[in-house]
Amino acid sequence: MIRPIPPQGWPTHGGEMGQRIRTHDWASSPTGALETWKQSLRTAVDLMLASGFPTVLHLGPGGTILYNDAAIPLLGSGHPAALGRSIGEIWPEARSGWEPVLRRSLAGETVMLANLPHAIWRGGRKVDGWFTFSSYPLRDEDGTVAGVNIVFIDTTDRLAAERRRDEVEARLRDSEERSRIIVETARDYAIFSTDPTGRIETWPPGAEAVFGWSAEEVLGQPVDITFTPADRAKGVPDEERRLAASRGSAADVRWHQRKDGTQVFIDGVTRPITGPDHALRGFVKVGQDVTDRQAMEAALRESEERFRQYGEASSDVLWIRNAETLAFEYISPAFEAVYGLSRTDLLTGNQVRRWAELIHPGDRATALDHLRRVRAGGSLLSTFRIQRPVTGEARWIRDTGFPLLDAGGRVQRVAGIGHDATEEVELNDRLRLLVGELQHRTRNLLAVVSGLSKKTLAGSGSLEDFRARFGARLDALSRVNSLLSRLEDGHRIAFDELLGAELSAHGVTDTKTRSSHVTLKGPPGILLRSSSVQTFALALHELTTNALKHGALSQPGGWLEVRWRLLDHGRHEKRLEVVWRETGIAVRADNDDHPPRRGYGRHLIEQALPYQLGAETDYKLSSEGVRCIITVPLSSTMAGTSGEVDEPDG
Amino acid sequence: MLVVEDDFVVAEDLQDELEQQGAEVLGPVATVEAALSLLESGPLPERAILDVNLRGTMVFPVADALRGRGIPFVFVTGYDHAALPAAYAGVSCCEKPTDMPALVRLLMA
Repeated sequence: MIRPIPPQGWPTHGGEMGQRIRTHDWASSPTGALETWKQSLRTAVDLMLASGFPTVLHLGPGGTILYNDAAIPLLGSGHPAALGRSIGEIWPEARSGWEPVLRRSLAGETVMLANLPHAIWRGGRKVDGWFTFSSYPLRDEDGTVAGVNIVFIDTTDRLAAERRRDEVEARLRDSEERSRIIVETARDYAIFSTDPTGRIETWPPGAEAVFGWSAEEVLGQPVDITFTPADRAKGVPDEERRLAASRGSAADVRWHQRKDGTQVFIDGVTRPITGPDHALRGFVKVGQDVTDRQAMEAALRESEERFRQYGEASSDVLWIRNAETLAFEYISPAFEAVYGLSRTDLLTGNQVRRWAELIHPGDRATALDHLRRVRAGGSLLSTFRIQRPVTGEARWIRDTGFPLLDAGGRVQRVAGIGHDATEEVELNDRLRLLVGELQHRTRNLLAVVSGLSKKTLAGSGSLEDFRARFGARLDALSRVNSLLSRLEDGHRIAFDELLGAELSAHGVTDTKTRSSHVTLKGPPGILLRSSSVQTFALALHELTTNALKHGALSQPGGWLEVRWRLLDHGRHEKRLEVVWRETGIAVRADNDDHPPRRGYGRHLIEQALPYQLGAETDYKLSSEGVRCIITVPLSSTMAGTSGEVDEPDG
Repeated sequence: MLVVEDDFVVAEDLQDELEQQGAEVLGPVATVEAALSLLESGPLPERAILDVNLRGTMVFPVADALRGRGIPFVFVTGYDHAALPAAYAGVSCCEKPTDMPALVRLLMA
């Protein structure tokens, strides 16, 4: 016999919701009055009210709702009106979610749904919540499904924690992935790690690319193999680890060894890896292959050094100016020797003006104009004179200027090579003068030869006679010209040389020859005007050949005496007096019966020497032989062998 | 015909050639001074042959004196014609050694 429980008696517990269920007017609802509820339902309600999990009972067939205190926050403003209503009424927006689940559980199925969002009211505020719930059938005594029990488990906090953890993990994975990508794709960089003793632990593709070993070949190997034998012998790898461990980092900038034995220049750093307990866990090495850069820098240094050596060794002035300011960017040391000014002095103040001041005023405007033309893009040779500031010495400079263009073809710098051309210019002037002189002498000589040939022809009885005499005269001309051609610039022929050359050409010396006596007496080194030498030589030639043919040298017992001396003539002028005297032979003297024989030799002496040399001559044929006195003016500074500038003659 | 030439052999040769052509030779003289004094003392020549360089002295004072008197002249020189000063650029010039027929043609022109 079942004892009815008074309505005010049941449910006896259950907090606020127990109270509300007890006092609710159930009689007008599909469930009927509380007293009519079956025991199975009452038990289910007691269990629900006692549960700490939010729990909702859905009682069929009308769908009446009961819930416990724990479920109140899930209902929000729907509480307490929700009690005794249907789910469709209290959560209309979620009908599509609830209905299938309820239908399945009403059909006898237990449904589990995890982590579904569900609004929840906390402290009067609606917030997002997450719930896992289980919906299962509530059966009465005969096993009929009388309703559905829905238990909520609030997973909001756990889910949030999980989400945070997932996010952190994702970020970590992301970061690791990025690092991995960097490490593995930086082919110029070797980024790898070792254990505390230096054994290689990681070896990404970049390390393989830089050093040549594959990961299989080097993992577990000492990092020392990447050092050169010399560095290994010096203990560099150990020292590097020691430094990195004690200071937190060690530079590793040096040549390293590759697998194939070639070397690679690494610019890198070694850092220690420490654990949370600060214990050393290993090292990371990051290094860039800068071999190419290294080689380029070395080549650049080499190139700079080469240019410096070139500039410093050059005896020409190498210079480079900024095209805009014309200030010197470079000027070689030869400047100091050529211009006679230190480079420091040149580079002080306005450099263009400083340089221009060194240039001869007559050439300054041209030199500056040339500099401007080079700046405008022209290449040209500029020749100008400079005056060395201290000594005042003038020098000729040949400056070859040219523009240096940038990549866009604009004149970025102007440069040049300044050559001290003083010697060349002087030599050139002298050569030009000499060529003119030579041409003049040659033409004059031909004119003389032409005149001589006509005179000789006129005085010759036969062709044979002409051949002998003309030949001898040409020889005499040749001799004197050969003497002239051997002269150093500005020097002159001495009388004794001229006489000696003529006499010795005929085998005549001042010793006994052909049984004749020859005496030559006079001071050596009396210099003759070069313009007078040729005619003088011809005269001496005629005297000599006459003596050989008819005079003192033609007969035994003949005697030739040539004496000469220097005479003062007025205050400044000196004269040379030559006395040619033949004795010891019988000749027909000039007298009224025998008028003087007018040979060409005598003609030259009596006419040519006065005409051309301003000489005074006295030619006499006495019974003893020829006696000829020639007095020739010398230039006022006749004496010595000093290099007096000789006058040309025309 | 005045001949100014400092080399005796050449001067004598010129004189012979000119005389053979029927000319009467005044001089020859070897210096500027001698030539000028000949012009001063007269008689004046109709024409003149001047060697340009007389032992280092240029014959130009003689040339100027001849110009002043309206006497035509030719130069004879061992140098290039181009070496003459511009003032005498128009003067006929014979280069040494002298081509006598050419010189005579020049003088008679």
